[in-house]
Amino acid sequence: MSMRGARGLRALAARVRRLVAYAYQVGIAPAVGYLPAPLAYTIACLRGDWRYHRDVTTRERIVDNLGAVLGEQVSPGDRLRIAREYCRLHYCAAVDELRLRSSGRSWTRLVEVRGLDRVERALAAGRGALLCTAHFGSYRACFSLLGARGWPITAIKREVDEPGASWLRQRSLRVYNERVARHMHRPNINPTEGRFAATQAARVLQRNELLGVYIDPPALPADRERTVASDFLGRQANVLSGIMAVAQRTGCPVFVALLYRSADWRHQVFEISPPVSAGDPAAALRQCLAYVETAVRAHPAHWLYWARTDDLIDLGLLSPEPASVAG
Amino acid sequence: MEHAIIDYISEELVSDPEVLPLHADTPLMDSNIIDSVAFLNLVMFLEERFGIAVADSDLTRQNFESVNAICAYVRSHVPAGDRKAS
Repeated sequence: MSMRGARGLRALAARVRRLVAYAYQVGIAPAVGYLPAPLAYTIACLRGDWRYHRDVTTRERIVDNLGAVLGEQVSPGDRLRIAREYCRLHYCAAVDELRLRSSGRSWTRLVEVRGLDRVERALAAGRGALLCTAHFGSYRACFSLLGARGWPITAIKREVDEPGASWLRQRSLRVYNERVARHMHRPNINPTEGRFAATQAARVLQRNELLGVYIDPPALPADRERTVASDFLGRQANVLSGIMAVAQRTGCPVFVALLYRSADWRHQVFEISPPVSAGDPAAALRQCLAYVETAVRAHPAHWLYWARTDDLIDLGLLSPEPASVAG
Repeated sequence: MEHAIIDYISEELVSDPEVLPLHADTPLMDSNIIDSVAFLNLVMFLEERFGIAVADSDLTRQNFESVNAICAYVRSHVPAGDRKAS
């Protein structure tokens, strides 16, 4: 076959792939959210398995990062199993978000919440409650779970925005930001907008409401000077402790809340810890991270950052790759 | 009022001594003089010291861009009977 013919065939194949991806995003993926739960989550797992087999780059990245951070604690065979579960969890989380449409009941009825009495007692004391979670399991929807059950919850969360993305992607991001990330239409506090985030967070707690925050992301470049080094996964992770200072200033109790997926992939448990009792903000953060570490070690596939090498480097869990030495 | 606010920011909130001394027109928002948590402490200080309540809608750049702006904001919100005292 001539060079020109081969190029034409490759272009045609790329166009077909784009069309299939478009059809999947527009038609198949949203429809999965309307299917009965056992079927929807089975499809999500199959999609995850497909990605595990096809997306070699992501699979190898997860396996390498697990080895680099956890070392011999996870055998090579387990690393592959975790990578496969990671891919499945990604698509199961997408189904969770799709099932949050309207009242969200088609998802919330699949989730058991443990420790809610602790939050009830905190709100009865009138000082609000800070719920700390991690990029763990279905982390994007976990606060919406409480919002859908009628709890007044606001999250500190960067708005997802991709200015250069396609119209379809922009539309799905808008739906995500409005319906899922805002916890039933309550606006989030965007930590990157000006200097008001901590004050807005304190206001939520002073109104005796719930405030949700993710404690494990790497700091943005502008905030890196203010990170605190805390023990995490056998290393020193650089994370921000500012929200703990807000909790201390307002006198609100701090809880760790994590969403675990069950072995059947569709049922989940949202577990709220006893209140964290620590003196200064850095100690409170360390205690919260200890909860997260226990969860990550028990359910490694749940943790988002295994596939994100740059974030692991920014967190301080991985060293930047050494430059290749010439000669 | 101006001195009380400058003293509070200088003594309690500023972590980098190189930015001192502060002036009434020193920009607070553009520089790294105070971070988000320090800003919360400043708002709580203003509320306790001057007996005002800073509404969510008043948390704007315009009201807090400098000590001058903060003084103007506080003066417009101090209860009438307390104005002389402040």
